[in-house]
Amino acid sequence: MLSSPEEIYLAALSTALIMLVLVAIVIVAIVKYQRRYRLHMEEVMAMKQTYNEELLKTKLEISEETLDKVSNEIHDNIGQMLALLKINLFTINVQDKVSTTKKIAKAKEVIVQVIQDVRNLSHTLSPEYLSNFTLVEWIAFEVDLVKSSSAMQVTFEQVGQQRIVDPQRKLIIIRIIQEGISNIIKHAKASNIKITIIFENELKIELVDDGMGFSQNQKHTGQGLSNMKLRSKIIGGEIEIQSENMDGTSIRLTVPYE
Amino acid sequence: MIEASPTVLNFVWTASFTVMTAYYIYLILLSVACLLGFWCRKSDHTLKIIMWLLFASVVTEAIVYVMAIIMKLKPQFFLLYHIYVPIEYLFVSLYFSKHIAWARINTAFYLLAGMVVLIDIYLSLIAGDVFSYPGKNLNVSGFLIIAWSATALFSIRPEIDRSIFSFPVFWIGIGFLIYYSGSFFHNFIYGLLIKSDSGLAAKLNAIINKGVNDVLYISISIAFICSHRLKKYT
Repeated sequence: MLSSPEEIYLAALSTALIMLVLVAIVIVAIVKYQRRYRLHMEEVMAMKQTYNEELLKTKLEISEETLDKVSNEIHDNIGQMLALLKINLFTINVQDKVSTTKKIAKAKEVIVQVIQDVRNLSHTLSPEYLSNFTLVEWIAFEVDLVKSSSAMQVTFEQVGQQRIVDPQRKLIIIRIIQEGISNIIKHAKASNIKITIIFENELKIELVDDGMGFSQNQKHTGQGLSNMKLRSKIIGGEIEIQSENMDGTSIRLTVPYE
Repeated sequence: MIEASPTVLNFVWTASFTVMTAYYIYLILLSVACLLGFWCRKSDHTLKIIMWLLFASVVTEAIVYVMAIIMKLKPQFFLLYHIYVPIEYLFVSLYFSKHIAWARINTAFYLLAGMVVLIDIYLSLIAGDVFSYPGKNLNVSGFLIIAWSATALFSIRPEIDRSIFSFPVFWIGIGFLIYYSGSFFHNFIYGLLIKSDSGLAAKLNAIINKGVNDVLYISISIAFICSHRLKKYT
């Protein structure tokens, strides 16, 4: 029978101990959760801030890149055509009707071409124009720009059914690709670039060149590669770079869709 | 000096509840928790483990009811609990192992699962009696489940705009902590009383054992409701 004082004390003591331990476990678990929650929120806020800063920087860089390309286009293409037009018109001899007719016809052709090029350029300068592009269209646009402004052979291939990419992610991905192409043009001395976009469970983009490559141990003073890595990290992706001296470079970007 | 008074306990007990009322409350809470398990949307898929555990409990209790209440096979129904205890351990530890972010936990889970089953078989068939209350078996699995649930409580990963009280694993962890802590105490008192005053032992069993079971099923029901609300708004 539960009647001896020792047994009663033991029962009361064990109950009290069990209750104390239970309460302590629950309180400590709640306090620890709150502490981890606070740290987690601080990390999330810091990540959001980095993301927003990088997004703003990316937008500015894309604008700068676009302006740079527009400036080159005006100088190299439209400027040349207008100079040709000027020569054409300034050398017209109204006495020579045959030659004048030919020159006016040529001038008309040049004017039509200039109008078309100016229209394309004005589209490029419009912020909505490029952002309305799908990722594939945008990469194709970049490929065309590289083809028209350099002697490099650029091929672009799409694998899998195209999927929608969040507009902000798209901006960052494009900036990573631009940075990759820019690095190849500046440093790789390549004659061929192959860009492949693969729509699988995750989005994969590969940039492969046949340039001089670099040793993995080689130190890089520029910001290009580290910018690409940072940007891929803030959209939850990762970049894998494979390169050997004189054996080209392969950059593989893997990014989740959301 | 504090003196235990079975007379007072008897008076308080008979004045408010009966052993059978406590038993029916326990069965109702178990059934409600089981139904909630099947009905609620599961934001956390591991809750299916608890859902099937509750289903196994309902089936066991239904057979026990038929054996003990209808067929009057009083000591024989304890055999079912000897089978149920290791099954419950496997389900509960599997659930908690899914919520503990340690790589070695899975190995520990398989090792301990095998050990517990072997110890339970030894305690039921060799060291004990299959037609008596499986107190020692409960103590063995209870000790480990308390460790599992406490570890799971400390492993809850914070999520944005989520209080700890909205995590189903929190309520299930608390439920099992209370249940097995109460069971330790119950087994201790029950062991002391059963030989001297079996009537009082039965009443205390109804208060403590059924009480902690009620707390467990209420906690599990809250966990299912939390999961349902989370799934609904995400």
